[in-house]
Order: sequence, then structure tokens, then C-alpha cells
Amino acid sequence: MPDLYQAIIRPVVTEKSSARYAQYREYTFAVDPRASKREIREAIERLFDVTVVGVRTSVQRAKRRTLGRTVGRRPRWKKAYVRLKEGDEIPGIYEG
Amino acid sequence: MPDIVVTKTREEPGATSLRVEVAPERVRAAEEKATARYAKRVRLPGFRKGKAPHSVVRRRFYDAIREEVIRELIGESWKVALEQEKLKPIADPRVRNLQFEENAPVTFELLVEVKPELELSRLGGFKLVRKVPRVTDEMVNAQIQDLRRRRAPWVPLNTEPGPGDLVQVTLATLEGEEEKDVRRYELVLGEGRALPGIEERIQRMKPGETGETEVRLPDDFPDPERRGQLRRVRIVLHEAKRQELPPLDDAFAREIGDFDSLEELRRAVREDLEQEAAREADAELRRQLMEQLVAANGVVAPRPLVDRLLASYAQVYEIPDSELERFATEFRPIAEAQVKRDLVIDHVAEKFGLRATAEDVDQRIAAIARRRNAEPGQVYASLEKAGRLRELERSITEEKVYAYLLEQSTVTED
Repeated sequence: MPDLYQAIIRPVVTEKSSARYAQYREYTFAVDPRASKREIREAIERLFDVTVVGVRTSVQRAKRRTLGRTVGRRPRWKKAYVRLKEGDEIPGIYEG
Repeated sequence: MPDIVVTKTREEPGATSLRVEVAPERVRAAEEKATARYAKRVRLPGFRKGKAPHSVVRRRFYDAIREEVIRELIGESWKVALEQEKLKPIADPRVRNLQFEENAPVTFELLVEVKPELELSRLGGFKLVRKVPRVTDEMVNAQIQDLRRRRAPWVPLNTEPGPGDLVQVTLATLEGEEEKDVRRYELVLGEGRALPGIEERIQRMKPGETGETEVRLPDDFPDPERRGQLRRVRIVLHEAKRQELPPLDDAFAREIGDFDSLEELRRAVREDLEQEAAREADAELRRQLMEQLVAANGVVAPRPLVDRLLASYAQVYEIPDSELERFATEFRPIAEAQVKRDLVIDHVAEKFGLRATAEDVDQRIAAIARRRNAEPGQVYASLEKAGRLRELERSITEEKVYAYLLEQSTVTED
């Protein structure tokens, strides 16, 4: 991963991820599939000035999408669950 | 400390300004309520309907929620203000200088138009003159002459027509020998409908004849390019008619209506004119009374009311926006007078219980029905359909008020 800032694509804000945040204080991000856990940790720490204590990732398979008669695929993507040091937070994702 | 604090900042007749401060806790509560309402019904990507957490909803719909909060707070404060200041508003308040910041009290001003309190210390003892103009024989004659003219048939004429005669002509301007702008007109001579030169020429023609004349186009001719130019005009006089006044006799009287003789018609006309004169005298008397009453009690017309009335005038007369200012200046005195008059009448009607009652209205309707030979129910229905019941009620109230007021002043007949 040449550029750290490109590792993180966007936060994932869904019912499931908000529930996870509510229970475990874990933030969910969509990340570059090539990014490693270590890279993700570094990117998050630098971007948001926090300390990361855990990163878990999961690659989402490319789902089939049909548009009328044309069959296509959505790209596969990597999801990362990031746990921060107690007391650290990234504001503006799940909270107003 | 209460959540909503209302303080009066300024008061003038007819208008009050209030400053409102809403405590942050109250604001937050309103915000939460609004957010909850939104959260219940919005669908956001990634969430099932109504499942998005409040925090997310709040962030996404911040502006809309804020607007709702402001609306609610204004509504709430309005209630508080009404209660506290015992206002009698005549319209919804206007909001000004709204301040809304996170974690601070929300403040704004309410501008309220209120019904002004009227204190009439002097209602009577005015000296008024009721002047009924005398109905003269000339006035009766003129009226009858008018009736004759309206009844008179038009009789074709074989000679040159004169002023007052109806002519049918075709006019064409000549350019060389070519006729331009050929048009047919029907007009009464001497009413100034055609150019003087043309009218004069027509009076020297017999029906069926054709003539020519030269005229100067007047300085107020519609087309500025052609003003003041000389034109040759060809005139064809097709037909001329003169009005033949019916002879003034008993037969004429019978034809006009239910009159047996000319004498009776004259009497009826005179009676009509006298009634008209009396009505005018009464209206003038009321005007005098109101003027003196307003002056004696220093009644002021509240600006908001006057402005409102002016706006409604402007709407009725379809005044364009560009003319509004001039219109407002010109009609302000009239609007002010009307506002004062209405205030006084309202006040007196209220204070002395002179407002038209249901019985008053029923009686009036019965009277109208008798006059028209109709069922009172029908009259009522048609008035209601035309939306004129309120008007009727208002005019009865006005009559009662004026009668009450006039009793307390001296009226000299002139």
C-alpha cells in the first residue's frame, strides 16, 4: 500500500454496524482490499489521531447484480472492524 | 426558572413586541421529539425503515429537524405569550431576530398585531346638523325628462341630422383616390365621439349621401406619429335617426309603471328623490358624528390595521406593485378614517350590547322578503349563498350603534 490515506475508503454506516458500535464501540470501515491489518491500523491512527487496539477484517464477496438482462458483478471489498483504546473516539460517524 | 420566558419590549396601539427566550433544556427536548418523529418514518441506506439510530437521523436531517423545532418552539411560546400578556391578537404573530445556537437558549421576537384597547370617554353631546336638500320642481322635471328619453323610440330621418341624432356612417381616410381604414360607426352626434370636423360635415349631409372633408388629427391621437396631420376623409351617411320623445301625458305615466296619471308619476318621482335626499342627509349626519367623536376621544388608527386595510384595497383595485407606494400615500387618510370608524363602532357595539342578534337578522330578512314578495327562507338562502349575511349583520349593527349614539347628541334639522 503505497499511500496510507487510500487504504481507508469510507465508514460503513448501517444498521448492523451501528449495532456493533453500540455494543462493542467498534468502528466499521470499507477499506482497500489490498490493505493489510497493519496498514489499516496505521491509517486510522494517523487520520483520526487515536490509538487502535484491534483490527479485524473480512473480505466481502463480489455479489451478482442483474440490471434487466445484463448480469454484472459488484466488486469485492474489504471490511475492517477497528477497536480503539478506551476513551478514544472518532466523532461524526455514528453520532451527531 | 420556567422553560419559556416572554417579556414585553415595546407596545404601540395595535401592535406589541415580545422577546422570547427558550431555555436550552426545552430546546433539546423539542429537538429529541422532532428527531424521534423523523427516525420513525425515514428510510436511510443501510437501515430498515425506522431503524436508523437517532444520532444518525439527527445528523442527516439536521436542517429539517431544526426547522421543525423552531416551528414548535414558536407555537409553544405563542401560547405562553397569549396566556401571560392577555393579548387579543388579530393575526398570527411575525417572528424576527431568531437566534438558534447549539447549547444556548433560543431567542426571538414576536411581533403581534392586537386589537387596540379603546377608551371612549365622550360618546354624546355633540352638535350635529342634519341638512336635507330640498327637492325642487326642476329636479323632478329633469328626472321625468330622463325617463322620457329612455322610453323614446328612434325614428328614421330624411333631412340633415343635428346634435343628439343617431347616425350610421362609414369613414375612410383617403390617400390619393385610395380608401384606407374603412370602418363603420354608429354614433350620437354632439357627444364628441367623432372628430369635430367630421361631425360638422355629417350635419350637412342627407342620409344616403357621400361627402368628403379634410381634418387635422388631434394632438391626443393614439398614434403619436400621425398627430397633427391633415387627412382627407370620405364619409358615407347611411342612416340618421332622431329620438322622438313620447308626449308627456297620463298614457306615458301608465306605460312607465303602475301610475294612473302624470300627476301620480310626478308624486312618485318626487317621493323617490326625497327619500334619496334623506338617505344622503343621514349618511352625512353619521359622518359628522363619527368625525366629532373620533376627534373628541383622540382615537388613533393603529398602523398595522391601516396597513392591512390598504393592502386589501390594493388587492381589490388590482394596483400593480410599482404603484403601491403612491397608492398607499394617497389612500392612507381614507384607510385611517375607516379603521377609526370600524374601531369605534365595534367598541360601542361591544360595550353596549348593540351587536345584531339573530332576531334582528331574521326581522330584516323578513322585511326584505315582504318587499320582494318572496319567502323569508328563500331570501335567507340566497343571501347566505352570496356570502352577504355577514354584511347584512354588520349593517344592522352599524345602524343600531348610530341610533344609540345619535340619541346622545343634539341634532338640528336644517
